[in-house]
Amino acid sequence: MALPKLRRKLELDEDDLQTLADLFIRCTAQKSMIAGLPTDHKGLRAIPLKIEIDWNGLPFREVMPLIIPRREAAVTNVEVMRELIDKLPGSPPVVIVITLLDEPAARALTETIRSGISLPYAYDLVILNPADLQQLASSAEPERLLRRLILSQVNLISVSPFKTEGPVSLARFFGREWEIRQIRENIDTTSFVIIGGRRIGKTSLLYRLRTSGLQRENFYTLYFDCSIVSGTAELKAARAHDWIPRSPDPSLRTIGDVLAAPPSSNRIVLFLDEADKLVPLDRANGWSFFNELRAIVNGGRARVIMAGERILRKALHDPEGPLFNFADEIRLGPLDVGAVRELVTKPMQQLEIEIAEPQEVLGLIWALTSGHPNVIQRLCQRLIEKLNRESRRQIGPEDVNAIAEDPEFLREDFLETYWERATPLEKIVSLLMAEDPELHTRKAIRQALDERCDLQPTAAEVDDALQNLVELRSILKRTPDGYEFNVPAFPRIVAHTMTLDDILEDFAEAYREQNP
Amino acid sequence: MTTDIFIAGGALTDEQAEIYIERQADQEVLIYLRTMKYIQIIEPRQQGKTSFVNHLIYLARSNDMVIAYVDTSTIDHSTEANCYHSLYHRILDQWRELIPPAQRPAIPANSTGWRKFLYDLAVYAYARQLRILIVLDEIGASRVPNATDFFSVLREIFNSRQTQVPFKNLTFLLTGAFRPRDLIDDDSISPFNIAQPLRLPDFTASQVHELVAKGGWPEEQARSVSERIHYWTDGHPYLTQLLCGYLGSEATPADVDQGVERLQREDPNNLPPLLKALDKDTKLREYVDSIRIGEKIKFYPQANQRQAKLDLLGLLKADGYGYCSVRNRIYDSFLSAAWGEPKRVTQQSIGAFRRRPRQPGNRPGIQEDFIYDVFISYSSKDLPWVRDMLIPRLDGISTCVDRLNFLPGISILDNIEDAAKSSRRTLLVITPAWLKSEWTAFEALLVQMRDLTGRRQRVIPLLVKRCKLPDRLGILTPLYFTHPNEFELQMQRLIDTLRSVLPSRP
Repeated sequence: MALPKLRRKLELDEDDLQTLADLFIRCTAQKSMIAGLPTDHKGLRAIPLKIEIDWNGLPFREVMPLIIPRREAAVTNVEVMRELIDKLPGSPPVVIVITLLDEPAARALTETIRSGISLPYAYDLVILNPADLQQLASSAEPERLLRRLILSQVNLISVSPFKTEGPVSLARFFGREWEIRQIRENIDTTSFVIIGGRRIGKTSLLYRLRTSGLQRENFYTLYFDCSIVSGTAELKAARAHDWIPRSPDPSLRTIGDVLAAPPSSNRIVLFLDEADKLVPLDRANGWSFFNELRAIVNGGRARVIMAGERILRKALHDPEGPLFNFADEIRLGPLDVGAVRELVTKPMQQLEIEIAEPQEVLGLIWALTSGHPNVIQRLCQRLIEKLNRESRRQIGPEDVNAIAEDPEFLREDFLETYWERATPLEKIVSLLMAEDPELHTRKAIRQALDERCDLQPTAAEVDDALQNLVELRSILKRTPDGYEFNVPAFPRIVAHTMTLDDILEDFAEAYREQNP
Repeated sequence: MTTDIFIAGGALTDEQAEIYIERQADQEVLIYLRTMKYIQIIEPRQQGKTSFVNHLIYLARSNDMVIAYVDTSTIDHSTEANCYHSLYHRILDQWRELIPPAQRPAIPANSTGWRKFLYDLAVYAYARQLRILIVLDEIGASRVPNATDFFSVLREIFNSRQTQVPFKNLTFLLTGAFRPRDLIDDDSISPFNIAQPLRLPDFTASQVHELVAKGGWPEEQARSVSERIHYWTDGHPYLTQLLCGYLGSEATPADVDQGVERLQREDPNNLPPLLKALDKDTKLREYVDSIRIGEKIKFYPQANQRQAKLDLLGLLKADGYGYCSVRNRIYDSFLSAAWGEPKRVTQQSIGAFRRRPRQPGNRPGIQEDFIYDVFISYSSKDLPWVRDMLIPRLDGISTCVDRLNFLPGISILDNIEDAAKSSRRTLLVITPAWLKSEWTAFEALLVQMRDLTGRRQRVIPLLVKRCKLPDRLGILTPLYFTHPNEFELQMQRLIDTLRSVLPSRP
């Protein structure tokens, strides 16, 4: 290795720089190569490197600049470093810097760069010293070691695979085998409606079905998110842009085209997401859209899979409406234990994060989240943020417990997710049940509503609220005696996060405003 | 030294970057932008949102990031089509050189056209390896017709990123002083439930010092002045800048106090609008008063609509323990001057809910003199539970425990009566043994003292072992410690209940 000689030189020449770049490439077992011209700036050289290692699905860019200082002093000047990074094409989020310094000088340099560049400008600079290069060169698994070295220094938040908003990718999709099988096996003859609460994974399931569930069965799937239209005419005029695979017929430009003339030889499945929005719009229009949809489905010319929640479910059970007996209903609830395990451990493995006492960690996560996929991902994202702050790469039960006590997580992630779209009455019922562990029956709940909040909803209203808390929110479950929490952590979280009298008063007022 | 550099009112620009104080959000936003997350900043007026945006634009602009800034309060809202037309020009006029007129997308006229426009922009950026950030500022002041559909599109294109990859090159920063539900029908199908929320909190003491130091005062003087400013403003950005601007070269903490008086007298931009908003809403004003007299209410504006309104007005924040507090001493003293010292809220004015028997309503403990926070009545057979399970959890709550505090030579009944009267709350550790040994004395006391009944939750039964409650106690709702799994929950409820009646302590 040429390092000792280079370290004695005060200034590196062209050959030395090339030697260092070659050294890095050799260290990575030729998994990296120079992919363009170098950029020089005030004693620093940046060489674009194409690093072809398996990133385990993490969102790293293929090309990372390798910065080599011609003079060691140049690398400590953070302004010069920043000027160089700004000159590089494509604003690289991760830059590898080679230093010839030993510990502890290398560590001091890392701190200087971290406080001078990485934090204020949110770049990730991975600093490799001679010991790291030595380790890379002698490693039996240089690719894995390089990945680990990079992951140990980058900001984990920027590469975290946990997804707290929007549908998840196939790589992040776990569980739901029963639902997928049910749909795949029957889609030839049956349409489906997927009912579930917010963030429970309806859109992710639709995406999973489209990309690997039904594509294999040679279906053409067309997806449309109904939340963006304000009328069925606008829906029909909307572009049919989201086909998997590509549209079987270029003349099918709009949703209306597909409805008017679905190609009989093709197997088309129309996915209508956020279909709650359509129900009142179409009802006001004499159900023309759903009647048309029904005619197509009954004629066997296409299948439909809709996703939604309360309004869609009501329409589905309305014997006077066009959606009655239109489709099979699939209710989407929390994940099972196996899927939760995968959802937690696989991304952690990707990030090279070790889970100490995995059984206990998973047990705590299960106890806290009861399998709600979005709450789990939010919890895991908070774990990642915690590790990132504390510059650690191992989580243990105490980390999960710390998040479980964090009011910000409990309010903004847990309660916001479980309560999203819940009505004031649903929230009040869940609070009263959290307050009084003996409250199980509709009768007792109505009594408590009266005594505690001076509210007198009808039995049907309370039934509706309870049903939604079971079927949409997954907060409660039915028991032979009535209802109890499906999320056992709920009462503790309520006690921990809010002043019950105050919040009950607020919700009661909201209920009265909505039900004057 | 100079105070000319301090600016209260209006956003800081690039030229005024020297007095920009960076907060944690300034770093977080760059990390979120790296992964093209949507970002939202919902804060009260004068919290530094637009200054933050200007600073971000300065920092984030790079050779692959293009940014368009739109103040949505100034676009044409007369019709839906005009609104989109105006928005279209506001965005593209900033990118004249980037997107030649011939390559501009079509002008949208409705929400589906708006989606098509954004898709075309995203495709353009994707083909050139550019990333687009569109900043929509002052969203609360905008009146976009069919706002629900407008915002639904932003959410829908975010969710489409997996199948329509160009959308990965387009992101939004949404800012303003607003509650999403005031703008749109359903905030759960809007970008506001997928965007990363960023908060711009008040300055810390060291950030106030950092700002004051920019005035050029000698270090010692700057330190004493900044401490006094922080004492009054608690880091409120606008008020802090305003006070700094009032000070002269010989400034002392006493000058800061005079500055506060001047500010309360003269500033038209912050305090009068706040007072006006509160005076319009009696219930809100009463709620503020209940917080000012020391009611312990957990700060939870995401769920509580009254708190959300006050949070957005900038009047409320969480204290160090997570309870609601008036945001700074300037506001507190201003409200005292305007309304007088806070009064206890009458039951009738607060509404039906607080008239219910189990409501705390007025808090007698706040105005009455007590020796103890809690009197614990228990049977000697339950001493281990009280000693090991209960008392260690009542940290910071003064307790009267009969065997330690009862005076010798006085009847048990008198001792119990004295203890109950001297304590804000009385806890009954109810077990079969307690019913057998203590209940008779206590029942007599309940008969004598009407204010010990449950109307004010003065007596809190703790059901520790299963037993049938006597009728007189049956009217009170107990806390159940009979299920081991519920212990923590019930204990937390007990602690919260007790803490909610404690007076504020330094």
